[in-house]
Formats: sequence, C-alpha cells, structure tokens
Amino acid sequence: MNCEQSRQYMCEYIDGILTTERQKAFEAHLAQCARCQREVDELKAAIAWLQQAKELQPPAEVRQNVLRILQGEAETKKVVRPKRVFLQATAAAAIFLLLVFGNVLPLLGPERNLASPQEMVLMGSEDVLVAESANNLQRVAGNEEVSSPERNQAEENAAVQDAFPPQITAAKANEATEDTAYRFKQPVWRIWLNVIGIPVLVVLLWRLKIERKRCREK
Amino acid sequence: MSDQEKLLVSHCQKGDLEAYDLLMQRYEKKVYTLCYRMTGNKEDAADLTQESFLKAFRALPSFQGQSSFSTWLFRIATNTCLDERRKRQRKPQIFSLDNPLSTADGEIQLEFAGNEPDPLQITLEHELQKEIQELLQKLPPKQRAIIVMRDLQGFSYEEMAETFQVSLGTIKSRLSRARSRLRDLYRQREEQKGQSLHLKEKRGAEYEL
Repeated sequence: MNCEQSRQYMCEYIDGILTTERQKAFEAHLAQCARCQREVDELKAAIAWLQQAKELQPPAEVRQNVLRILQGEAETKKVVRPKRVFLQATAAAAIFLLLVFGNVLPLLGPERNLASPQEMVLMGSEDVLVAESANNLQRVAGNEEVSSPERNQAEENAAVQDAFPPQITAAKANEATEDTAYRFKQPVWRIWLNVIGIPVLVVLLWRLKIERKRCREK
Repeated sequence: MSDQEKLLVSHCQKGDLEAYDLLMQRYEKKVYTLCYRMTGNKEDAADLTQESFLKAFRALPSFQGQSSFSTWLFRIATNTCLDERRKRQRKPQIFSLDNPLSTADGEIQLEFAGNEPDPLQITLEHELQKEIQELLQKLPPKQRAIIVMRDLQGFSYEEMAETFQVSLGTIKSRLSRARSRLRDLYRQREEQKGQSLHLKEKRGAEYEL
C-alpha cells in the first residue's frame, strides 16, 4: 500500500470497518510511513476532541408544542373530515343525481318524448297557458252576454285572433323562455335545474377538492 | 430496535400521542443536540427539533421498520436542518464568535455556579463546548452534517448514503474531505491556543506586578 491508497482508506481505518486483509496492509504501511501515521494520529485526536461535545437539554416547551399541534391536528381531522367534507360530498351527489334524473329520465320515457307541441307548450310555459285561458274565458263571456252582429264580427275577429295571434303575442312576450322551451322540447324547470344546478355542482366539487387537500396536508 | 420501542412505534402509528410523548422523551436530547450542532443557535435548534418531531409523527404511518426508529428519526432531523439551511441560503449568514445566546447562557451558568462544587471546572467545560461548536460552525454545511452524523451521532456509512441520497463511494470521499478539514481546523485551534496561552501568561504576569 502506498500513501495515496492509505489516504483513501484512512476514514474506514479510523472507523474500524476495513476488511482484515486491508487493515493489515494499512497498518503495515503506517509502520513504514511516519507522515501517514501522523495524519492518522491527528485525525483521531481531532475526532476525540470533537466527541467531548455534550448532549444538550432542549427547552421543555418543544415537546409540549409538538403535542399541542398534533392534538389540534387530530381534532380538526376528526371534526373537519366527517362533517364538512361529508356534507359537501352529499350535497354534490344529490345535485348530480337531480341533474341526471332531470335530464336522462324524460329521454327514457317514450310517451313524454313524443308529447305534442301543445302539451310541450303547456309544460313549457305556464305564462302562455294562463294568458291563453284568460283570453278564452273573456271570449266565452263576451259570446254569452252579447249576440249582436257587430259583436259577432268582433267576436269573429277575436276568434281568428284566438286561433293564432294569442300564441304569437304570448310567444313574443315570453320569447326567450318559450323559444328555448319549445325548440329543445324541454320544460322550464329542467332549464333552471341545469342553469343553476350545474354551476352549483361545479362549485361544490371544487370546494370539496380544496377541503380534501387541506385535510390531507394537515 | 427493542420490543418496547416497536410497541411504542406501533401505538404512535395509530395516533397515540401519549406513546409519541414517550418516544420524544427518549430522543429529544439527541435530536436537539443534532440540530444545535448543525445550526449553532439554540433558538433555531428548538424550532428545528419541533419541526422534526412533527414531520416524523406525520410520516410515521409510512415507517415500515426497515431501520431502527432512532436512525429514521435522525435522518428526518438531519434533512430538516439541511432543508432549512437551503431555504435560508439566500439570506446573508452572520455567525458571530460572541454569539449572544451563548453569552446569555454563560451568564446563567455563572449565576448558578455558587451551588456547584467546582466553578472553575464548569467554566472550563462551558468554554470547551463553545469552542467545539465554533469549530463545527467553520465547516461548510454538508461537511458539518457528515461529521456530526458520523462522529457525533454514530451513523453508519450506509445510513449516511441513504440520508444524502448518494452512493457509498461519494460518502467515503465526502467524509474524508470533511475530516481533513476538521483536522486542519483543529490544528489551527491548537496553534492559536498555544499563542493565546502565551499572551495570557504574559498579561497575567503584568497584572500580578
């Protein structure tokens, strides 16, 4: 063994973890080389001096703090997880189910799907229905009370109007609602369910995700 | 790992804080000392000890018992100290030789000295501890970590390789470099001490006159 090799094994020699063979070779080199021997001695001295370092007593509050923090975490886990997360998860699931039933179930029923436009209108817009029936009632009342020709003419006009325009005017008045309701063959409540339900569902799921992440971090 | 310790660890893994308190009582001195050797500051050491114990408890469910609990805990503490240092690296580091905390500590020691059998011995002992820490503080952080782990905490080469996530060969060469540095610093200190003793003797002579 030369000096370079000896330096390579010096740490392991000091720590006493060289193989017996290498240790013998190392010691043989030390016996010959005063410089390496001095190096070993100095290293040993430095380490021995360092090892006089004493253990220190930590402040008592360290352990207390750790216990307090962990206690707090255990409690929030117990409270937050089942209560808030579970509640939010249930709410999200309920809205999801509502959306599914509101949108998918009507498609599954063949009768509903084939409902006449009139029926759709009835389902679609209560306003139209109310306006129409009010009109009809007025006309009926007018019919019974007055039977003069002018009235008859007026009534004929009204009857003509009755056949188409009320629907048109009503449709104009309620353009947005009725149009959408009619075109997509969807009742209003289902549109509202979607318009409100989907954003609420998204927000709930998003909050749920945050909540769960927070729980996991703690 | 003793059976008792295994039992304690398994209780802790189920969230038993009383069992964890017992484990902490067992190792707090060692962890705190390790943190103090790494930082050279008692306040930081207390914070890092706390942080290490918190991290360890949170990571306990994933502790499989491959190594002993103490080795695992010290590994967490060492990494916590090194991480903290990395975080702080951007901020300027100031290490004063007359660290106010040590000075404050010294005053406390002297106040209680009257009750102790040998005040001189205590002062000398305190001086030695301070010198050791000062010398450690002169080592670069990674070298300091490796010296503290090997020569003060008695980690094996394999354990150190695992902690630093490097090969055994890297650990050997790092330890070799760190120890040469330590030896140089020790040699310097011995030389300075010789000089200052010389000065003190001279000054002492003057005062006596």
